[in-house]
Amino acid sequence: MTRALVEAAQRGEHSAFEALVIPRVDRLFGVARLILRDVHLAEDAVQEALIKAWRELPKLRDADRLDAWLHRLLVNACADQGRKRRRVSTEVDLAIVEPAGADVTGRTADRDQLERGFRRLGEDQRVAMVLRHYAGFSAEEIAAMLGIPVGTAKSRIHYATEALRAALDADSRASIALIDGRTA
Amino acid sequence: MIDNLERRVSVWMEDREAGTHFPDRILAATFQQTRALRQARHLQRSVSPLLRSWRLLIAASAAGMAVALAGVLAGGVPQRDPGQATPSPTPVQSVLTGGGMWPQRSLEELRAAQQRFDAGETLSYAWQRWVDWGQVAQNHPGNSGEIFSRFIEAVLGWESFTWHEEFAHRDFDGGNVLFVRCAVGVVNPLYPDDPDGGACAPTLDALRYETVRIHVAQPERQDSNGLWVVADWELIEPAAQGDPAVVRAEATAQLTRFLEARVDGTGADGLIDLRGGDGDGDAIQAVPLLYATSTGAAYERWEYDVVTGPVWPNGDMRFVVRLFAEDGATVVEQVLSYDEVGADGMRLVYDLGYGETAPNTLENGDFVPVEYAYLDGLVTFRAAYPLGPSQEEERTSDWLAISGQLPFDDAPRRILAFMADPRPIGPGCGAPAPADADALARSIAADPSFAGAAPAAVTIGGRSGLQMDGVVALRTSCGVLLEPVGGRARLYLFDLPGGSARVLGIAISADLDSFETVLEWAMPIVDSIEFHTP
Repeated sequence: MTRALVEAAQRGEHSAFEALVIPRVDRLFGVARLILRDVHLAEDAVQEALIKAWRELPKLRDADRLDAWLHRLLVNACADQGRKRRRVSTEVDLAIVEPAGADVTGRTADRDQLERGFRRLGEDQRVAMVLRHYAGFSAEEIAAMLGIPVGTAKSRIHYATEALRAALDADSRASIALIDGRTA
Repeated sequence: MIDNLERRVSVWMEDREAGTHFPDRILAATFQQTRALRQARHLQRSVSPLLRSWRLLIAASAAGMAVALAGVLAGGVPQRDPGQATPSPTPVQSVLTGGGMWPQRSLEELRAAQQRFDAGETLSYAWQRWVDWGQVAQNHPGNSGEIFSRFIEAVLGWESFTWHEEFAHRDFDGGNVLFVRCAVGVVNPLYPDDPDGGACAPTLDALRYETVRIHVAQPERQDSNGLWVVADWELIEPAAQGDPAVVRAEATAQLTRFLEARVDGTGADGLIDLRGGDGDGDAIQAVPLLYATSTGAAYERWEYDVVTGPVWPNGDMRFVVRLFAEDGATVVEQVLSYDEVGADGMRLVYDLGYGETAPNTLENGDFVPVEYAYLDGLVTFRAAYPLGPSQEEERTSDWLAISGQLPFDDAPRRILAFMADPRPIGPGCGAPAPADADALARSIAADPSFAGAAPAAVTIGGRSGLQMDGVVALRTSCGVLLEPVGGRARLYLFDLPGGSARVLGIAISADLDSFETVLEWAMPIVDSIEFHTP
């Protein structure tokens, strides 16, 4: 089905393109939000990626690789948006962050801790983590998507994981120190 | 102890993005744009006889060119006939080297088109409205690519072309956008797997691309309904891709020299460029822990991993380097880039980081404090991630805040503020700054905005000063920065020995509940302060 839609869209049938995009766009948006941590930049990135996808779709040689190809366009669009953000020197984080409330159950605390740890990662590391753990691509697929050797993709995921682990460890130590300080 | 981190990350991401919905209005607008956009043709797509005749036209003399081209364009944008296939040709270099307004050829024509558009004939000209000036002003096509793609295909006859950030900026004014031509049906042999460059092989030789500057403008009407045109264009000095084998060899040679110099303990600083602000309040322009660890231990050996690259088009690379000391008990890890540095070409680069961004140096896994300079180097201090100077636009000439997101916070907060020649609290906006720390302390003590103990002597960085602890009783809109009302504050006041300011104030303030914790984070910064002679 996807192959037929891709081929139709490659012939210029816009309705086929829409049929391909609609079931995927929310997930792509999630990827962009996680990478960019900014709703508005993420919207722009998805829009840019979809426009490029339509224009470049005839060049897609293997319809089975549509999802990987779309994610590649999206990651590039996110990089463009990231550059734009750096250029105008606005690092305002517009990501939706739930305020810390009374709920300090394990899951909420865990989520907040991960949110903080994830923010500390560099953009390349966030991309690797999102493609691996949210989009579900293998290291081989990520390597092909980003145009890097498989070993580099694996090491990038590894270093991102270790950086996150280090950030979480530091966070835990600081939290413990804080609790100790308050109770002292 | 963190168990099964990867599973936790996956669950967290799914939870975080559960219910995420791309806005319908934006999707509709996107489809509206794509419906109106022509698709790029397949790499193997053939060239029609009409296009070949354009190429003949392009090859014609400049004198006859305008007339001939005008004749073609008078019939509208020609449609190519995919049914009459011929093999893709070897790339042909364009002969035309520049030109004027397009698609209308004069202001009179544009005015007439604008009138037809305003009268309701919108479909014919809709694409001439779709220019994102915010992007184009920065030499980016953004989402307004159609005017460019129509022009390039119609006038230059380029079947495949691209825009890239690395090629985008050459000191042309806003409104000028650069594109390079890609060879048709050829995978870029130097970057076959690069997502951007793999499908864009050079057209002039192994490295160089035909490059066009296209200047778009609204010469007739400058508003959201004004039609855009290509005001002028020219073929310019060709952009070139870097040969990845050459770049890799040069990069690793430079990196090796740099790392060996660090182990040798001399000569490394001339082998690297620094990237990052060098203004007041920015990081000191030096690679942290260049020759030794934070405890002064010399490096014994090094290693590096290639993280990315060579990446098309320049062949940019990124490395993680590790320097070992004390028989490997201490490991300093840094991220370095091999990147284009202005007119100096490709250079090894250390990114100093900026504000609250993570610095690029870790020692045994911990972020290394970064040294910053304030008041033209009169005062230096160190702050470790996540703390750092606020962004440039949040600074003033006499105020520098140190902020960051503490582990228990949901957003960055200000930890402390440096103030140069602070004015008194309260209605002191128009008042002159006191001449010395004693005078400032007296004015603060006398002001109802701040209720606290009498100033006490303190020594920091070898310099004697005053410390004042108290409670913020009133909101202050200028002068010494204190907040929130009802919160606690600590002030340090020092006389400065000349230079651009006479008094340095340091304010640490927070609400009652978090003040002690904020103080814990702020004091290492205060304790790291050093005073220097002007």
